[in-house]
Amino acid sequence: MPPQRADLGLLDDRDLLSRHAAGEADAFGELFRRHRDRLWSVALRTLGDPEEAADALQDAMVSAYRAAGSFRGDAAVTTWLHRVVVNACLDRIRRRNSRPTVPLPEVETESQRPPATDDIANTDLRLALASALATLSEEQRVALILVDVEGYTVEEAARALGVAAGTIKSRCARARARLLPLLRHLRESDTSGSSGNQSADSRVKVTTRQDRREGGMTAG
Amino acid sequence: MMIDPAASGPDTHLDPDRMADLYDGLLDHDAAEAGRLHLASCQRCADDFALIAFGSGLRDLLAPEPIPEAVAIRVEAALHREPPPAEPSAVPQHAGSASTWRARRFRLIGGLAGASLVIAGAFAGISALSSGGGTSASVSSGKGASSYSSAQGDSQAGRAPAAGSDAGSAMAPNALASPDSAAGIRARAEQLLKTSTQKTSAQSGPQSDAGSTEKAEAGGIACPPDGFQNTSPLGVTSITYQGQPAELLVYAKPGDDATAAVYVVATTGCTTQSPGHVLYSTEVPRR
Repeated sequence: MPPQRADLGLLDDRDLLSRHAAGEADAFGELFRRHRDRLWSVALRTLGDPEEAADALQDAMVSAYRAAGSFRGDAAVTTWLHRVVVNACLDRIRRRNSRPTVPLPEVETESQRPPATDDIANTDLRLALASALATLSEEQRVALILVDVEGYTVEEAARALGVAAGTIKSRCARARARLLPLLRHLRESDTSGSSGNQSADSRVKVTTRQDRREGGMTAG
Repeated sequence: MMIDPAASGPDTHLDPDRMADLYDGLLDHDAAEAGRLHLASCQRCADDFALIAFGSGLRDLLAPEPIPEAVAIRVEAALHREPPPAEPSAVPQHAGSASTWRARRFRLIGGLAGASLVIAGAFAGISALSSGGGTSASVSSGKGASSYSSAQGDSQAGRAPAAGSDAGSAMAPNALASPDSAAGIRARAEQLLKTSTQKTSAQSGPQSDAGSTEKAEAGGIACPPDGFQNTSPLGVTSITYQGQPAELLVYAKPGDDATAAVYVVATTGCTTQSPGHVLYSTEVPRR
C-alpha cells in the first residue's frame, strides 16, 4: 500500500529521495515542501530578483526530480538540493551575462547603498541584512552567498564561478566590508543580548567607491 | 591610497573598505603598516578585520525567507507535470567489483549462473530471481532520456536518469510493480519474512523454495547496513537494484515487534565490518 502523506512526513530526507527514485509518488514533493523556504532563500539571495529566483528554483527542482537516481549519498540531501539550486542560479547568471546589456553604472547611487545602521535603528536588522545583500554587486553577492551562506570553500566557489580563488576571497572581503555595519551590529547584539550602547558603531558610514577614492577613515 | 593619520587616535576606526584594501594588499607599504598598527591597538577594528577577512557568519544571521505561495504552487505544478521518476540507467560495473559481486552472488544463490541475471518483471517471487529469465534492467533504462532537455542544474545534479515509458508501472501499487519499485521491494521483503517464519516454525534447516535465493543468515552478512553489523537478519536475498548488485536485508525493528526494517544495500565495496551503502530502506509489518 503506498504510504500516505503523513507517512512520508515521518521519513528522513534520504529515505524520501530513495523512495522518489524508486518510483514513489509525492516523495519528492514532500522533500520540496520540507525545504522550500530555504531553497527559495538560496535562489532569491543568489539572484537578487524574485522573478528570476522563481524561474531558477523551478528549473532546479525539476532537475533534481529527474536526477534523484544519481544522488550518491555522499552529502546530505539538503546540501545536494542547495547545490542544484545554486547551479541553476549560476546558469541563469551566465546566460544573462552572455547577452549584451547596458553596463551597470560604475559608481553606486545612494539608493543602492546598504542602509547605514542609523537608518534602521528601529527595524529588524536581519531583514535589513537580507535587503542589503541585494544591494551588493552581483559578483560580490554571489561569491558571498556561496562561501558565507552555502558553505562552499573558496576553491569550490572559484571553480563554480570560473574565477581565481583570490578573486573569490577579494569579492567576499569587499562584500563583507559593505555589510560590516549591519554584521557588526548583529554580532554585538547576539553577544550582548541587547543592542546596548551602539552609538559609536552606528556612526560608521558605509562608504561608496567615490568615498574611498577620497580617503578611507571615518570617525567613530 | 592614504590612511588618515587620525587612525591612531582613540576615537577613529578603519573604514571597512580600507580594511578590505588592506586584506587585498592594495595599500602601499606605509598605509598598510599604519593599518596594521591600528589593528594591533584597536580591538573593534581587529574584530571587524577578522570578519572581513575570514567570514561574516552570515549563514547564522539570515533567517529563511518564506517562499511566496504562488512560487510554491508553481514549482509543485511543474513537478506534477513531470513523468514519474524513472529507473536510473544501469550502472556500468567496475570489473573488480563485478567479479566480487558475482562471487558473492554465486555463494548466495548456490551457483546459479547468470551475470546478466536480473529480476523478472513481476515481484511475485523471489523465485523469479533465480529463474535466469525475465527483464533485464536495461529494458527499463535508456528510454526517453532524450525527452529531458537541458534542465538547469543538471550538471550539478548529475546525469538525469532515463525516463522509461514503463516507469509508470513503478508507481502502480500492484502485483506487477517493478522489482525496483517501493512496492516491489516491500513485496519481496514480505515474502522473505514469510519464508523466514515458515522456516522458524518448522525448525528446519535452509530449504530450497523453488530455487529462491533468500536465506536467514546468522550474522556474517556481507553488507550489513550501519547499525546492524552484529545483528542477524530475518532474511536476506541478492537482488539487482537500479542496475546495481545489492542485497535485500530484513531485520527485526528494534523496539517494535510488529515491524520489520528493510534495507537494500549495495554490495560493491563493502565488507562484513564496514556498513554497506543503503540504496533504499523501508519498513513492512511482521505478520
